[in-house]
This record gives sequence, C-alpha cells and structure tokens, in this order.
Amino acid sequence: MQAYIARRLVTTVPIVALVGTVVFLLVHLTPGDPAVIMLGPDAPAEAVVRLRHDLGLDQPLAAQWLHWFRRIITGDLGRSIFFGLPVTAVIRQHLVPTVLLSLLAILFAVGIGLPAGIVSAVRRGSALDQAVTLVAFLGVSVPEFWLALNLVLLFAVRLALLPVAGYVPPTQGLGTTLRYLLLPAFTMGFVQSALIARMTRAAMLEVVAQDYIRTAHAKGLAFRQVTLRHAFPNALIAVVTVVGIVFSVMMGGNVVAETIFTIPGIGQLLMSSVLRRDYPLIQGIVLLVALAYVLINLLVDVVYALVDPRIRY
Amino acid sequence: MRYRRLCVMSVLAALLAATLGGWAQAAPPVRGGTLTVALSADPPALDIHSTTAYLTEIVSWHVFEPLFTYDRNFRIIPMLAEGYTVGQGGREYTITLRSGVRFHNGKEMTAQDVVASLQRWMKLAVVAVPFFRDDVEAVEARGPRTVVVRLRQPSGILIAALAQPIQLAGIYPEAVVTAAGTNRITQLSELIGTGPFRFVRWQPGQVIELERFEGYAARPGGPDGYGGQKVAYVDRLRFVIVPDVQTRINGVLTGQYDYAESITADAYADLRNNPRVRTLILKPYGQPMAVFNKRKGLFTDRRMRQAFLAALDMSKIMAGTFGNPLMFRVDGSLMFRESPWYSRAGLGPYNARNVAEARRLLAEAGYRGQPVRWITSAAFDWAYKPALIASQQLAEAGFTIDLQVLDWATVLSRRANPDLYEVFSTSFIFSPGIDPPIQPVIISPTWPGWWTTEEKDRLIGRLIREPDIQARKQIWEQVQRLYWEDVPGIKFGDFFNLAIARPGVQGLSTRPDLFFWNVWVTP
Repeated sequence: MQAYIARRLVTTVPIVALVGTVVFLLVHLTPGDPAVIMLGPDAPAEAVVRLRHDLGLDQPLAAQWLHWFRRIITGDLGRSIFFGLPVTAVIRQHLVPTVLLSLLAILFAVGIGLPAGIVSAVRRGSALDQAVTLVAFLGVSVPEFWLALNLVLLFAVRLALLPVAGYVPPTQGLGTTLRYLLLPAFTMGFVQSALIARMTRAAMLEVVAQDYIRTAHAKGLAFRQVTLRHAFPNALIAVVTVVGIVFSVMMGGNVVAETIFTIPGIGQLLMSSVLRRDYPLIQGIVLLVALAYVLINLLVDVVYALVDPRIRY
Repeated sequence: MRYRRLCVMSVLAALLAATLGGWAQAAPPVRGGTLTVALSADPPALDIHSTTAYLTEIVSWHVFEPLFTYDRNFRIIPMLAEGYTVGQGGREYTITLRSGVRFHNGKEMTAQDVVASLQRWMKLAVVAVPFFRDDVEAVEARGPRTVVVRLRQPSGILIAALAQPIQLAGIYPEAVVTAAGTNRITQLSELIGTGPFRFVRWQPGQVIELERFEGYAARPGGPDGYGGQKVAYVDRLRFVIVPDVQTRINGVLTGQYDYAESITADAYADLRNNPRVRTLILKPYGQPMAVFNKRKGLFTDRRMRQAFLAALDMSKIMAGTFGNPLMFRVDGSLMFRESPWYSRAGLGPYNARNVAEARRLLAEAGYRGQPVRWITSAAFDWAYKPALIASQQLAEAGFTIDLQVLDWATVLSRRANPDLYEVFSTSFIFSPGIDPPIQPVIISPTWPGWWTTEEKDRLIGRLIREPDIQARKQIWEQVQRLYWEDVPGIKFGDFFNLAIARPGVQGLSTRPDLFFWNVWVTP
C-alpha cells in the first residue's frame, strides 16, 4: 500500500506540470491585457508599456513559461498582478472558506443522498422510491442559482433567520461561521445529493439482487441488518467514487454559490482572476485544483482498500 | 366635557406640532456606528494615483484629498489648497496650502509633500500625460505652504485636472511617494492621506475597512459638493465586495448592508415602494457610445459614419437599454447637462433618424453589404443592449452588422488593433473634473478609434492653451459641431446609476461619485 501511494504521488508531478503548462498557454493566448485592466482602459500607452515590462509580459512566451516553470519548481507561484501580493497568500486567504464550505456541503450531500438512495433501493417501486426519484430528478434539474436565491428569499429576507450573504472566519466564532455557511452549503449539498442518491440507489439495487442477500433474508436476519451490514458495504465502492468526485468538484470552488452568497472562496477568485487576466493567480489556482483532484482521487483509491478487503494494491 | 375637549385639542395640537416639526427639520447628525457599503467588485488598487478605476476612487478618496475639488454646481473650489494665482501669462500657477492639515501618521502636510505627490501623479495620470505633463517645467516648493507649477506654455486645464475625482491628484507624504516612484503602493501602512478616514484592513475579495481619522483637519463652513466641511460621523466605514446584484439588494433589505451601488435599473419599480429601502438615482452617470475605427476599413469614409448615425433612433435605443425613463435621457451634448460645459451646439444630426438619407449616404460611399464587425460585451448593459437594438435599426438601413459579443477584457484588447473591428462599444463615465479636452473619445488621436483631423487638432490645441473660460466654451462648441458632422463615434444618450440604502442612513448625496463623509447611521 505504501509503495502504491508513493508511486501515485510521483505520477502527480507530471500531471500537475502538464495541467499548469496547458493553462499557462491558454491564459496567455487569450486576448486581454492585465496591464490595461489594472491601469484602466484609458491609461496612457507609456504607463501600460511600463507596467507590462514590470510584470515581465513583454518577454517572449517561451521565456515567460521558462521563468514560471523555474519558480514553480522552487514552490514560488509568483505575485498576483491584481492584488500585488504573493499568489500563495491570496490563495491561502480564499482556501479556508472553500474548504469549510465544501466540508459542510458534502455533509449535506451525503446526509441527504445516502439515506435517500438506500431507502429508495430497498423500497423499490414504492411511493417512497418514486418520491426520492422525483426529488433527485429535481435536484439534478434545478439551477443552483435559482435554488440559492429562493433559499435566501425564504430564510434571510422573509424569515430573517439567516444572513443574506457573507463569510465570517472561524476565529470569530464557529457558530457564526456555520450560520453564514448554512445556506450556501445546503444549496451545493442538495444539488449534489441528487447524484449521490441516484448512484447509491443503483449500486444498492445491484447488490440486493445478489444470491447472498437472498440467503441472508432466508436465514431470517432482520431486514435492517441485511440492508446495512450485508448489502450497503458492498455498494460502498460506487458511492465512495461519486462522493470523491463531488468533493473534488466542490474543492475546485463553486462559482455560483460563492458569488450569490459572497463567499470569498476559490471559485469566485478564479472567475474574477480570469476576468482580470491575472495570469499568475489563474495558474496558481488551477495548479492547486489539479493537485486537489489528484490527491482526492488517491484518497478514494485508498478508501476502496479499506472498505473492500478484496482490493489490494 | 369642556375639560375633555380641551385635553383632546391639546393632544391633537401637540401631535400636529410634532409632525410639522418633523417635516420642518431633519434629525441632527449622530456620531458612531459602522456604515457597510456593498460594492459590485474589488477595486484594482487602493493607491489612487495608480488607476482610473471608479471603484478605487470611491473607496480611496475617503483617505486621500486633492488640492482642489468641485462644489455643488461642479465648479472648482479649494480643498487642501487655500487658493491659487496665475502669473507669467498663464505659465505659472502659485498654489497656497492650508495650514494645520495632518496626515494619518500625525505629521503636518507641507509643500514638499505636495510637490512629491504631484510629480508622481503627473507621471501616472491619464489627464496629465497627454495634455500638459511635457509642458511642465517645474513643480517646486517656495516655503512650507507654497507650491509653484511652472509651465512652458499656458494651460487651461491644469487646475481642473488637479480637481477631478477619477485618478485623484491626492496628496501623500513625501517619503511614501519618493520610495514608491511610479510603482503601485500595496501596503496599507504606506497608504497615508489627509482624509477624514484612514485604512485599517484590506482583505482582497472580501472587505476594505476604514476608520475615522480623529486628527482630521476639516475645512470651516458647511459641506459643499465634493468639498467644504467633511465630517466622519461613523466610526467605521466598511466596503464589502458583493458581486451579485440580487445579493446586494437582499442585503440592504435585511439591514446586513447599509448601502449598495450598481443596482440594475429594472429593480427600481419593485424597490421604489418598499419601506425597507430607499432608492437613490445617481445622476448623471455615463454615456453609452459606439466608436468607429477611423484608421482602417469601411469607416474611414465619413459618409459611412454619417449613414450609421442617420439610421439610429436614440429614443428607442435608450428606452430599450435602460427601461425606466427616470434612469436615462436622450441628449446629444457631449458634456452632461449638469456640467458648466453643456451645449446644444451642432446637435442637428443627433437622433434625427432618416433611413432614406442613410441609404443614400451608403450608396454614395459605395457600400455593398460588407460585414461591419461591432465588438461589444454582455458584461455591461450599456455596452451590449444599445449594440443589439442599433443592429436591427442599421439592418433596416442596409447595413450588414456582425455583432461580436466578447468579454470586456477582450474588447479592451481588440479595440487597440485596427485590423479587428469597425465599431466598438464603450461608455464615458461622468466626472465633474472632465474638462472637454480630457475626453479621450473626443480628443486623443492615439485613443482607439483614432480621430485625427486637422481642424479638430487645431481646435483642441487652442482649447488646452486658452485660459479664459468664456473663450474656451466657444471653442468647445465648435468642437461639438465638428463631432456631429464628422461622427468619430456616436453618443446614444445619458444614463444614470441606481443605488439603494437602508432608511436609517442619513446625509447621503445622489452625486455620481459616491462619498460617505457627512453620512451618519441611525437604527
């Protein structure tokens, strides 16, 4: 297992480097000049030329790439053009809200999706199954921004139970942080719970049709015991996979929820950085997201071995 | 019985008196509390010399102050200056400074600070670089409270440029600007001004926090436009970044924010009668425009540009873009109605839709349906909607419009390349300090669109050098006449900006440039 993890970590390096290079080329070949955006559209040409020089944007693309790659190797992601701060510092500021939001959202997603999927599978064809299927269908279909705005209108504007938007760091009280994160996390969690419910239902249906489940029922085991002790663990592989994918997506930042709820997270930062053509920051965020994807995938593979003793690396 | 009637009468009289009293005088200002303002985006910098961004202006001019500013009628008045005199035939400006003005670091402002600040600003400011920077022979201190600006040629726009809010000629401590040079200052500890508020915290993408500067030296007298007496009533001023417009609205409705800017015009009808919110129309705000590429392609021919103008119905374009008539007006004057430069000279061709005339001009120019590439962006209603509506009107006149909808950064990039477009969308945002020659769309031969004619250059040259205000106004009217004859671009009309506030926020102005000094909060 340890050798496998080490091998996987080594393969991470070329993947991240490749992703970084592709993004480097994409952002530099996209029209739009960060110097013009920084100085304003009517800035004097000489000021733009000076800023481009200061930022190294007047160098040939190959030289810029080489410079960027050398810095990356030493762990230096450069400075944000827009904020004038180190990229790592800007990302760090925006990472905590995204991590907290993703953790809370995945709790909602799993907390809603998993029981719904299990119940739907074991009560196949019942009214409950149809209700879960309908809600899951809605969850997949409903636009996230529409759900978010309606939740705000209900819980913040009409009932005044929760804040409209914003983020309070945990240093000012975890309770307050959770109050601010509740609506965005539920929005993200509900949308993703539909996928988890459908995947869980499909995996469970496959398992409950197996012979050993029929045998377990025939032995007279309690329905609940058969479902949770015998069927569910064998359906977990598929569920772990989808939860891993969902969490990876969330960690990449959620532009819709972060924008509507004004969460200063990675998604919002990436979007605004693209609009501002803040090259170093875009590259830094994409590198981080790529790394998060790879590591979460690795974690999922490790969890496979833990939930299914037959899997050995 | 009589006693009861007397009691009732007394109560009614007291109530009436209280009510009339309430109408007659507003509640006195209250010190304390926090004012939370929701902004639509992050300012690109807080160093007010470094950018023309509007968001930088409305945050940072609470911290930095200019030598001159604008009164309620958009006339220039002194701010950190006491006054100025002009000598040497318009080539020497002697500016006297106020005494007792302190920076946020406790040190008193001197002429040395002003000289260093102006020297830096002149290297960076859009209004200075093309118009008078090269004419500046020297900026020097003559004693602790006198600054002299010596010019090689007279300038009619120096003081106006020093007063304009966008990319404000703010005064910093000498040590700070000398150390920074032309580099952007990013450390809050170095962003030191003389204003009624000082910076406390900046978390990019989240919040910019300012607090009252207790050592602020206010001007005597009352408030006057952007100047006069400034009082920081609130202890703290927080600018929070809220990109989503509906979230800004909801935040004010619930009291989480006190004020929100850039509210879409279509929300006005819903918000106007809501008791939980006050609507404020910031007037004037901007002019949506289409600018022609006059360096290459179809629109190097003036008849093509005139045909384009003749095909347009501005009333429909403005109504279709901004909806509510309170949020726009159809006016072709290049300078806003509120500006001392407003003129109706030469407006004949503006909004005189004449499709037959447009077709005639197209035929005369030899146009045969070649595609007209119009680059615009859906990021702003003022850019996208006029282009969309105008495209239909132009098609009726025989134009083939290729509307290219891009993100704003790409528009800014492409408009600098004459091979890539025929028309681009832009907007000229109101600034009271905008002296006509400073309007890039009108003046600069190097600005995208590249308007260069002998007559225009001659008139603008006179306008820059002429110190007499009446003579300058007459020259400006000639420029405006030339504009609507030559049609280097098309102004569609004027639009206004909608802001909203909690009812408990008092002392707000509806001027286009937001400020929160002289503003106080009640529950």
